[in-house]
Amino acid sequence: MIRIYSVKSLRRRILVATFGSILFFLLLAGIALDKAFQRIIRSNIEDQLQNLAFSLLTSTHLDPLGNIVIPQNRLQSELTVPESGLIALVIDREGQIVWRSPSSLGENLPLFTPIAPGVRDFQHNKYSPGLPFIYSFGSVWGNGDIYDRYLTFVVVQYKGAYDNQIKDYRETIVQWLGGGSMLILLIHLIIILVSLRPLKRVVREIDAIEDGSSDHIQGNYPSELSVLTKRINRFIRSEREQLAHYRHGLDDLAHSLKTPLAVIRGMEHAEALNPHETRLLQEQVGRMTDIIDYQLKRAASVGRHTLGADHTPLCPIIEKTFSSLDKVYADKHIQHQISCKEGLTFPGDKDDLYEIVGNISDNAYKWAKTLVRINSELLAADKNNEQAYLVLSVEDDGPGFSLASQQQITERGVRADEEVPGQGIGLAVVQNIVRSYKGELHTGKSELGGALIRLSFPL
Amino acid sequence: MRLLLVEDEPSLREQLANRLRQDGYAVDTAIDGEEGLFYANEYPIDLAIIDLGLPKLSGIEVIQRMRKEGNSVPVLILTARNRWQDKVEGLESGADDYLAKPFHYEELAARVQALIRRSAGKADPIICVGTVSLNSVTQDVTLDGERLELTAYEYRLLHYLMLNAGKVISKMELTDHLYEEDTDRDSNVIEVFIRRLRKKLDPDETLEPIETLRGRGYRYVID
Repeated sequence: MIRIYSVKSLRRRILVATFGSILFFLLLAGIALDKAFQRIIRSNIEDQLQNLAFSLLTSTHLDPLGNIVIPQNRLQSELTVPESGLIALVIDREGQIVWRSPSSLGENLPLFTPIAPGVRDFQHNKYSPGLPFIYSFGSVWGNGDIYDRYLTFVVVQYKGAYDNQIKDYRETIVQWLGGGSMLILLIHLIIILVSLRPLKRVVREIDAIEDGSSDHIQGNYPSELSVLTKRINRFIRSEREQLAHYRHGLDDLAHSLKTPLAVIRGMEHAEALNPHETRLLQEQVGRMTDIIDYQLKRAASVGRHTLGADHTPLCPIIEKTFSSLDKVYADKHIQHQISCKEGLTFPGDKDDLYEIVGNISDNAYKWAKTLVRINSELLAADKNNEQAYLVLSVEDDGPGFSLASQQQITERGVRADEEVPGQGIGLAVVQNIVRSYKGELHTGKSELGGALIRLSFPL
Repeated sequence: MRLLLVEDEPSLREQLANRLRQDGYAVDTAIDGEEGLFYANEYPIDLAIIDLGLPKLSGIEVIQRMRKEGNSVPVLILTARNRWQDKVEGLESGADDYLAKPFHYEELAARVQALIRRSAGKADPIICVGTVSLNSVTQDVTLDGERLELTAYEYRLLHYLMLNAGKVISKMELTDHLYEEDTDRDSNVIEVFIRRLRKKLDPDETLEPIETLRGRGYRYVID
């Protein structure tokens, strides 16, 4: 039983249990049928032997010397042929054989016990297959005086024929029950396959949700499963609604915090403040803005969903972001090169992808002299890499990172260059999002001469 | 230059409008998306500053409807959410630049000027026509390298004429672009300012940089 429960496949478990129970049932059925058959056979043999004994009795007469005479022609043919398996004897009161059938010639006969007149006895030892069936019938011959003879008629049948019958019967039983059990097993197998098909369908649907080609379980399922599928759907829906609600809340918070900050920032020329106070005010507003931006963006980044990972098409978002940046940096006349294979997807949320592409590309545009390049590729799993990755790299021909800033740049809130607002926050936000997807961010020097930022996301 | 500022937060709206007016812009303000869209389509503005999070009609919808109706006025969006998706969607829907709140006023002013220049097809903040040079960042005007003292209204008038140098600008157009909707307009004031400008730009009356075309308006002469 422990083994059965340790089997992980539900189908195999049901199969093993079904097969086991069918086998057990057939074994019991086989034993019961065998016993019933043996009982019937034995009862038939008892009847036959009794008839034989009675026919011997009626054929028997005593000659004047008191010897027993049974005419040969009155004997059943098996009793006349040696080794026929059937013999008949008549024994006297002392157990001495007084008559024996010709078929008993050469047989090594055991001692037989005489029994009282009118008594019948049928002996069969079912536990000793070698021993024969013995039917005995006690009788008395005479006039009820001292000359009366007590004779016991004994008919012995050896088990050869009986054993053959049992053997034939058992072979038939095994054939029929075996065939039947195979048929039942096959029917069960079909029933199991048909019954478990909805489960397979659910698994396929969940796979589709996982790879982003579906957003909920759609099919109609048996009542036992529909409880589960409805709950999974509710779970997915509530997760998405909660995320939307949460982001909406964060947006409202950002809006309600930053508009007053914008008013405060606009007070830099207030006459009541001296230049030192103005600078202090601006610094504090700047810090608050960075903290709000960083913390809210960090909070808004979701990473992978518990169920139903999004797969956001990558190229359209890169193209939209770059055409937007072309507009914003129109005066710099930056050229851009986009290398993105059609159909590539980012293994996550659209908002997160926008933040990643927007922040790193904006930095590249800020620093580039003439050229910004973005490249996205899929590193498939192979012998060297067990995991497939989506790799996104953005490079420019600007001044690039200094070694010190490379280390600092992705730490929380550290800004690579105070003169370029948002650089540090932007990259730190990207770093956070990348981490939430278990990805990696590397900075380096581009062959274009400027900065290179390379992001990889496990798929 | 006449700007439209659509911002629902009263204190920020007032503050920005005042600063922009100090810088010589005529500023119309709207408090929600619907009003903003109405002003943008009905008034002859040169640039719109639109907050994305507006009541009644979102900033993105305002821009989309403006563009749908063929309104190509440059648009600068203000966003408090600072989300890239919003920025990209805003720019895709037809905005020309964005600024995240809270911003330095100087940054806003620089972007406004850059957008106005760009829409006039001029990349350089310094517009040179003949011997007159106008720097839209420092708001300095020089004649033969000599700095001219101009009042705010004179500067606005000259800036508009120089941006549209070679084109005939009607008096009506000048009033539309130099005054806000609520001000008391008197087209005679334009004539007074033109006269003063001519005196300052051409004291000897030899160059005649501003030409009067009777019944049609004025033209800043390229050569």
